Amino acid sequence: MNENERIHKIIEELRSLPEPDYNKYFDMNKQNNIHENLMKVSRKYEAKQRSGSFMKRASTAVLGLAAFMLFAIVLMTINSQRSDEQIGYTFEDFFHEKMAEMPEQENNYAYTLIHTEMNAVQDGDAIAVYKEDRNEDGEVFFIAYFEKQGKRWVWKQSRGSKIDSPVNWTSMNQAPFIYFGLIRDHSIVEVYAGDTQAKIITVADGNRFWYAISPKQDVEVMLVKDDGSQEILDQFDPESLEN
Amino acid sequence: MISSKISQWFYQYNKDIYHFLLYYVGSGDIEDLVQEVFIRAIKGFDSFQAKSSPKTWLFSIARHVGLDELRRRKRARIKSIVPFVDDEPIGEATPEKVLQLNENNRILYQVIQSLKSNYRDVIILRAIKELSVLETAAVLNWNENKVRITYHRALKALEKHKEDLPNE
Repeated sequence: MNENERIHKIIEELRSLPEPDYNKYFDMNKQNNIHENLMKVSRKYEAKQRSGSFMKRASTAVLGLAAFMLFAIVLMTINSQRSDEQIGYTFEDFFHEKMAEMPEQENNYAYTLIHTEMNAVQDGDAIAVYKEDRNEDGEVFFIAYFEKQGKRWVWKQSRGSKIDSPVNWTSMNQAPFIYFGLIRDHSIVEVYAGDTQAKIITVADGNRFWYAISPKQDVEVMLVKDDGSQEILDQFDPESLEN
Repeated sequence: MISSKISQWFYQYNKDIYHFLLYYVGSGDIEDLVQEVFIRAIKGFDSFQAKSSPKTWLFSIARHVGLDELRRRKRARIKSIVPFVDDEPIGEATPEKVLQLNENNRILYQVIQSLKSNYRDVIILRAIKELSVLETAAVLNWNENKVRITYHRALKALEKHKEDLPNE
């Protein structure tokens, strides 16, 4: 017998191996029992899948909603900032707008905005120093205090001082107590309102303007000269000008 | 969807799976293993490619279940602290009983069990379950050429083992 014949014989022997006696060892009852178990497992699995699918959809929806809300909040914040600043609408724009809105009898003078300081006392406030050329009074320097209420700037108070006033300083009558004045003496290097050192800015013709924000009213104002000497200054109150 | 498909496939292929597993693992609760095959089919239903045959897919699962069972038994034998205990519980359905093997078939069955695993895989699938080369390739995840070559070698090895057996 050659190899092919032997292989063929082996295959025949293998194919003639009997099948199990299903009626005795794997009858219909056993099959049905297994089937019943399988259906329980299958239904449970399907329910779990549905639940998982629902949870997946629900979590997707929640995540989507959260993402949308986050996007909306960001958008609203941006819009809020935009409406607040009105796309490039600055504090200085507001200032000039308010100056233009002044009643004609109060604002028939030319003015120059000299200096601004944002967040001077607290976040969302501003100080502006400006000069008006009043015909009869000559040049008058003003300091104004602004606060932001919501999205809008509000002009809270302002006060001015003539450049040729005989005395040196004045202050706001209500908080924040801003003390200010002009410096015509070049030897003055520092000014203090109480314990607060003033900011000094150059305004015109070598003159300087100082202001200091103090938590207290009626503090002493002291200047320090370049030789180290100190001097208490008198207040310029009766002649101060309000805007 | 899953339940109806599994139900249909169970009644269509449960005897084939039982037959395969009986030759693959020998003794033991083959019906439990059949159930395990279909439970794994339920859990893996999403991975079933509709274009492939459920028959070869189920045989593939059955082969893995059979391998797991053989490994489990091997571990159990190693762990056993009671020496000289027969592996097969008394009264358990043995392949000899279930298959009602005569002497010649019993020898053939024992020779099949003695073959190395890939020879045994291909002998059971191609010769006993009479799967085509294509179906066998799908179950074993081999190419068709490998199935043909391995089957031929397995048959020769089977013949040699069978000839050698009476002399052992």
